[in-house]
Amino acid sequence: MKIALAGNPNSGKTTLFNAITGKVEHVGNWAGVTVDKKEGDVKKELNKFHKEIRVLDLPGAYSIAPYTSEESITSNFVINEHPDVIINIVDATSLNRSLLFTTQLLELGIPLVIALNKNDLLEKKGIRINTKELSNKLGCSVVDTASIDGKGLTDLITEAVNVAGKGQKAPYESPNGITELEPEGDRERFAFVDQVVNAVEERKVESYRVTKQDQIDRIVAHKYLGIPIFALIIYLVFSISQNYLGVFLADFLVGWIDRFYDFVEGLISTNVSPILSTLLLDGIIGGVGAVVGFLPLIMVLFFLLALLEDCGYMARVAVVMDRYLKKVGLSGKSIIPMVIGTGCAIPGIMATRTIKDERQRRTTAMLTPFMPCGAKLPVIALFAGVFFEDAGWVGASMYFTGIAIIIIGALVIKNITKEGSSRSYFIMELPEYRIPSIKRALVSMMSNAKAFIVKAATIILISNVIVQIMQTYTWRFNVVEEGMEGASILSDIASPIAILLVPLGFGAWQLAAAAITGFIAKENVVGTLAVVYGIRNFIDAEEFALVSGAESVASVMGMTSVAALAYLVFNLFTPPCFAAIGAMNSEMESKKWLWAGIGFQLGMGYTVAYLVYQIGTLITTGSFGDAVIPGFIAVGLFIGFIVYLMRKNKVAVSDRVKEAA
Amino acid sequence: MLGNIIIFVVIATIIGGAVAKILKDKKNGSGCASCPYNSSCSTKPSGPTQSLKIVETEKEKGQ
Repeated sequence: MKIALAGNPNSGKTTLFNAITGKVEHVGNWAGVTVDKKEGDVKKELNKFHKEIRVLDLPGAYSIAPYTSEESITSNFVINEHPDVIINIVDATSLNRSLLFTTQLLELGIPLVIALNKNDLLEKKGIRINTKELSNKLGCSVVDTASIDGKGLTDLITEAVNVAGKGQKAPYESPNGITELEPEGDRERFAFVDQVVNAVEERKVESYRVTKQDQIDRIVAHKYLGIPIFALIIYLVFSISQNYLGVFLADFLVGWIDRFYDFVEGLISTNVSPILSTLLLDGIIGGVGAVVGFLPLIMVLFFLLALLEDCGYMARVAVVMDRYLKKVGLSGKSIIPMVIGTGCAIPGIMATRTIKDERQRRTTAMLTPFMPCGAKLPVIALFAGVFFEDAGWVGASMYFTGIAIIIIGALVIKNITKEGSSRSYFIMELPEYRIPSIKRALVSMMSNAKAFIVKAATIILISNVIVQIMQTYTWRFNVVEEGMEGASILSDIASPIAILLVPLGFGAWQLAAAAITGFIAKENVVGTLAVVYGIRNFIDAEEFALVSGAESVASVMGMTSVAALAYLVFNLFTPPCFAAIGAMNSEMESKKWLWAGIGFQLGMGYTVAYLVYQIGTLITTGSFGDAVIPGFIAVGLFIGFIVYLMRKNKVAVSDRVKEAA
Repeated sequence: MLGNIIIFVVIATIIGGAVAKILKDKKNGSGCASCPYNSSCSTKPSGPTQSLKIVETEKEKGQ
């Protein structure tokens, strides 16, 4: 038996889905979190019938006639796949808006049960709904639910099984059908919904009253105060995760990794081949351990971001950013993928499918990877800890540098491809502020931690083994002698690329090799640096410091603080990992846009790193850094090419206007 | 010699396990192995979407 969960965005579908199936799909207190359908089986304790009941969580939709591509998933599924039952999740606090979609679903003839969700909020809002009357008016079962508390779930599943196969009559039938948007038909449908709502709902609270929520919004979503408040919150998030709680927890983990390393080292006898012991100790345990050591920092970051999302604040960030993004050819909707991209670029890029305008969608998919994702956090934490005393400002500044690059990038892309772009209006339903759920934040944190550990134990482990082997052998498979590391396979591959990086302040082949492996997964930058420099871990278990012997690590790498900042910028703002590039390819649906995007990310990362190094070196030493002229030529060519494309478009548009005249 | 064999087997098991996990993920999903979103990122929603028709509104004088 197949049950589809359908309803408006942010009506609580995924929370209900998780409660029914026991799964831990990502939920958020704002619209547009689910952009793809998810499947799972009903939990045994909710299933009285002891038969297999498959549940499908569909993306939120306001109407059967799809407006955005994720809405088309819902529309296509309920129309073409014929589920046995539809559970329509209706936000009880916004009955009027929700029932438009309900009336369309009822016309499909598929048995429908309404889950009157967020029931727990009705009393607080002074709303009373006559459930029995609602059921009579619509001709379908209505079950009170509160998916957050798990209330009414058994009744909901029981009712869904009972109505399966019984057909469904529609109380309102549109003369034009349900898949066409006709203003006249919509007016009639709205009138019917109004009539139903008037008959079943009593509201004490008048909508024109200024609530506490409105008062908070006037401050946090304020035109001028919004950005500083956002900056302060992000600074606190990075400080807590990188300076305080994250490091405190990392301290224990690194201690265990250290003891495990010592234990394995003690087991290996002196007769064992040094190549094998180095591969196991430095390549596998050391390399993976160096990355895993940052796990607590990432967990704290994800936990705090989940709290921010759950309390409803991140939706306000979208509103705050809308006015700036609109000016550069994007919409406030573009900020949603970017905020999601802070966790991982892949779901962020996937979330661009909620953007209707093709150019805006592609531009957002191209620019979302500039947001520092969770995988980049170990790189930020490492360089902030080694080269800078207060790690918090480095993380927060990278976050805002990412936003600045996105705004500049959007402006450039707007000028290159302005033809065909449409003016967009950002309409977003602001979720209610609520006390964030610690449980949900923990679930989100553990889910991301699991993904991080799996990545460390697979992709990163294999990358480290390959790096270790490549730096151990020459092309003739002779072991590289001590002091002759420059003759290794790894050195030979990375050295030509390292030459290109000299103008950025980091021309060492080890740093180039780490940057290259970062394209497989960004955490690899840390793992590879640990392997190539023979650093066992970056977090001191005894001194409660982020990086063990920060000065010695810095001297091993042979970089100035300015060059280190440039290296960090380069790794953060050049193209993302291959998985994210795959997601870009999928969402952009254009090879031209994909390659242009990769080229733009590479050029932007190189340019920003060059400016950071050369200007920083000029300020700190009074003269420019290495290879300033070749770097200037490379950056000049990139900027010149961008300007050429912008002018070319301007001329083409101007010619077309003249022809039309 | 025995020590070398044991270490070699340990390394081979670890790498084999990692490769097996990647292949399993690839088989189950369709995108990139070890990525938590690999099962859904290649799924592009299909089907036509419909442009929202803006209903013209009459503006009163002075509005």
